[in-house]
Amino acid sequence: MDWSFLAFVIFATIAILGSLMVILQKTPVSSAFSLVLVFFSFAGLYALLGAHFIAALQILVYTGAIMVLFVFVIMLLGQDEKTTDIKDTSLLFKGVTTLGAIGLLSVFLRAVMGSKEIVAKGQYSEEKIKELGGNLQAISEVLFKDYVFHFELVSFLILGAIVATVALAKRKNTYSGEYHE
Amino acid sequence: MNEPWMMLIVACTVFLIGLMGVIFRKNLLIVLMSVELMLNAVNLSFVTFSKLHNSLEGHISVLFVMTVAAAESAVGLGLVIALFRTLKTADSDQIQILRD
Amino acid sequence: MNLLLIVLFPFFGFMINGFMQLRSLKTGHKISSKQSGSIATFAMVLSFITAIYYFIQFSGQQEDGRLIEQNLFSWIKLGAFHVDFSLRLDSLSLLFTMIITGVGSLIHLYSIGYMKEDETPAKYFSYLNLFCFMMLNLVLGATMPHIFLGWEGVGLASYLLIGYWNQDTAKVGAGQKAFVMNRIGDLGFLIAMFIAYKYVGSLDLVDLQKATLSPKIASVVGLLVFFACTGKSAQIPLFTWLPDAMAGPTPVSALIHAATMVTSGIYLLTRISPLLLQAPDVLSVIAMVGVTTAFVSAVIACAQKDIKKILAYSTVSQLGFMFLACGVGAFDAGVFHVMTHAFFKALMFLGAGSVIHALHEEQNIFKMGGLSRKLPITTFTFVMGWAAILGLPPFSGFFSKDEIIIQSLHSQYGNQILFIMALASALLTAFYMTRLLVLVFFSPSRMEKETEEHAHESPLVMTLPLIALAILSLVGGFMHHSEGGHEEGQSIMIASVVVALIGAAFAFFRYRKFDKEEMTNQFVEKGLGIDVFYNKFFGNGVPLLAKGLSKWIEEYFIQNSMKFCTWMVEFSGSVLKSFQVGSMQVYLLMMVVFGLAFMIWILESVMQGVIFYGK
Repeated sequence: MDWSFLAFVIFATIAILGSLMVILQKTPVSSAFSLVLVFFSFAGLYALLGAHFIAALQILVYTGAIMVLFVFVIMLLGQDEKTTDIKDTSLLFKGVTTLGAIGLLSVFLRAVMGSKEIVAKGQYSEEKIKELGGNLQAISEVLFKDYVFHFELVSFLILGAIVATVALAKRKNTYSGEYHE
Repeated sequence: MNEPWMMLIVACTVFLIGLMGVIFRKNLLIVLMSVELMLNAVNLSFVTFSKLHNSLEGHISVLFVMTVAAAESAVGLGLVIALFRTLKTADSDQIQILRD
Repeated sequence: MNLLLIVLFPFFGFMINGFMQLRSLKTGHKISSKQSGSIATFAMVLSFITAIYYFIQFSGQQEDGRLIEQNLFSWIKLGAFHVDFSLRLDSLSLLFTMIITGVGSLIHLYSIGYMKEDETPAKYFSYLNLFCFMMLNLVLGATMPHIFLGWEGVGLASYLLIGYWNQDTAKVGAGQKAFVMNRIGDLGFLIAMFIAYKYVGSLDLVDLQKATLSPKIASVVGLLVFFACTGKSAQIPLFTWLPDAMAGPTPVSALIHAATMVTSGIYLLTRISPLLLQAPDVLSVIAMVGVTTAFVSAVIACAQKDIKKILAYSTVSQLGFMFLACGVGAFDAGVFHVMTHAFFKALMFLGAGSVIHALHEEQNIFKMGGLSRKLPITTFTFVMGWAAILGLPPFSGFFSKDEIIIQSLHSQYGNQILFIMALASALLTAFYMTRLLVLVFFSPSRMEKETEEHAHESPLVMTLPLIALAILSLVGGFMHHSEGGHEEGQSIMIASVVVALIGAAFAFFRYRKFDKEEMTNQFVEKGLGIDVFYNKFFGNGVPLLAKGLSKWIEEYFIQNSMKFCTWMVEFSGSVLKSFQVGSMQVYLLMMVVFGLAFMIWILESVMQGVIFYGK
């Protein structure tokens, strides 16, 4: 048995089970911790695909930054009581959702089948990347040569997000009292 | 790793699970987490296709998606906090101000 | 000189008098009939002088040179459809223009005296000028829509003037009757215009005259135009409004309902005569209707007691003669009779007005009598008019009326029936006119003492027009160069004069010594029951139809369709509302479902190579 295949099976299983746990847990805290598992296993999958830089980023950004944010907000809001919100959806709703999911799945599967016909035309084969001195080197070349403009644009997006978040966080109880029960 | 389609199937599965979470869960925090799951699934498919094509554009996309996801969760969580402050709930069914 | 001047003078008169009236309403300052009347009369005289200028210019020219056209502006422009607002003057329009402005001036002058006691003379004179303005538009218009403009305009002015004394409900009702009857005819005008445009491609009168249509189309257009004329010119079946129109002031009856407006039907038929000559069937219909109207209204006139009603039915009868002339293809004779009739009928109306004025609004001829001594000028001029309408030589009526009677037998389209009916109408005309004359002026007085004492001759401003018109009635006949003169023509002439004399003699001896009220046949006096029939048939039938429609169509069809509409809106609203549940999850689900459909479509396209990679 191939080690990499074994690793794939392990990571894939953890990812799928972890994501199931994310949506099935009753308290947001448990969901958040399941999400950490998923993020880790995704990092492993990236590494298996040879995307080492992405794998590192996954751990840094998601597990490091976003998850901390989530947990912090959960703590801030005190959302630790159990909820049973899945159960009170109607049967019709569930049925339609299931049908939609099956439809989506079939569409995806068809796309996956189509992926077999893909012919590798790009220039960044594994050999080329090794030649360049690794994944990070290759990505930075592409990023800062061809996509530098987009990179700068994204920085504006982040700036906007910061401003928006500050604005949201700073606002005092503007609606207070109006919609209280 | 010679069978990238298996990777794609993992991505599909996680995406659908995330979608189910978004649709079924009413707790806004869990909804946001499910959105993160979906984004991750898409990222995985990007990287897989990138490998299939011998191209690095997929990686670049993933970088951008991660940035957007970070921004999104920051703003989204900010909104949740703001909502919670005014409505004292994080349940999406309770948020019907605009409907009535 | 500008052709526009003829039209504009009355228009300015209308505006000035109209503003004066509005101002007097505001300030309470009363305007005398002398002030406003002299403005109006002056406008008409100026217009008449302009017309004379053109008359002189025309008489120095050959027949085919007598045409002046003046394009003022582009009136209607819709794609290929194009109507110019242009005036066109030829011999026919000039004749009508002379009648309108000439007789119009005299009647305006007369009105100054007649309307002396009136409260709002400025209003009256502005309406009168408006009428002349519209009538001139009618005869000078170069296109069918332009004629229609004038056609409707004179209808409006006629309505306003019939109901001028609008405190009296009956008079207002008479105005409405005239208006409605005219609208019925106008429908024919409009449809004729549409059909003519479809088949000729132009509404210019010159194009219509030149056009060659299939007999069927020509008949339809001719019949519809004739129907319009029966409305405006008071022929069977739409003639009942004219006797009622006598509710208006007497000068109005003289101008509008005898001399000018009612002859516009003859004008229109003459204008489109080339079209009518292509449809002989229509001509015979016109002749039959004309002669029947002449006869029937002459019969009704014999049983009337109201002096103005007699004259009104006489007008209808004379108009019937004119239509008879048109119907036998003798348009010249018809137009000639329009002119002479304008003179003598205006004269008689004004004379009747003078009598009514003298007797303080008494109109019943059986309460008059022996007025010849009190009103010598009126009597003298009235006798001239009487002689003219009887067709005694050398009065104007002799030339025109006998021309028509001759043509009704000898023309290409004439026949014995028309001739005999025309002769019978002439006999009756002589009878009822002599009856009127004798009862009013010559028989023993049947007036009340007080009235009799106050009876006096009208002032100069009223007798002057009478004298002028009397002279015109005398010499008007010589303006026409009748070629006549052949053997049979002369014998018919003699026959018609003899017939007229018989009728006159009979009436003279019957009414010479009359001193009580005649018992007339009520059925005949009430217009042979035609009004009653219209009232019964349309007056009751239309409400019945409306009731039926409101019951069946409205209740079941319209209401239910309305209900269906509201139900549709409610239903679609409730369906759409079910999507707006306010739950984020449901919205998301819908997003997924529709996104899925979109994805399937995209994927199919990609797989078939439609979008990205062409195969």
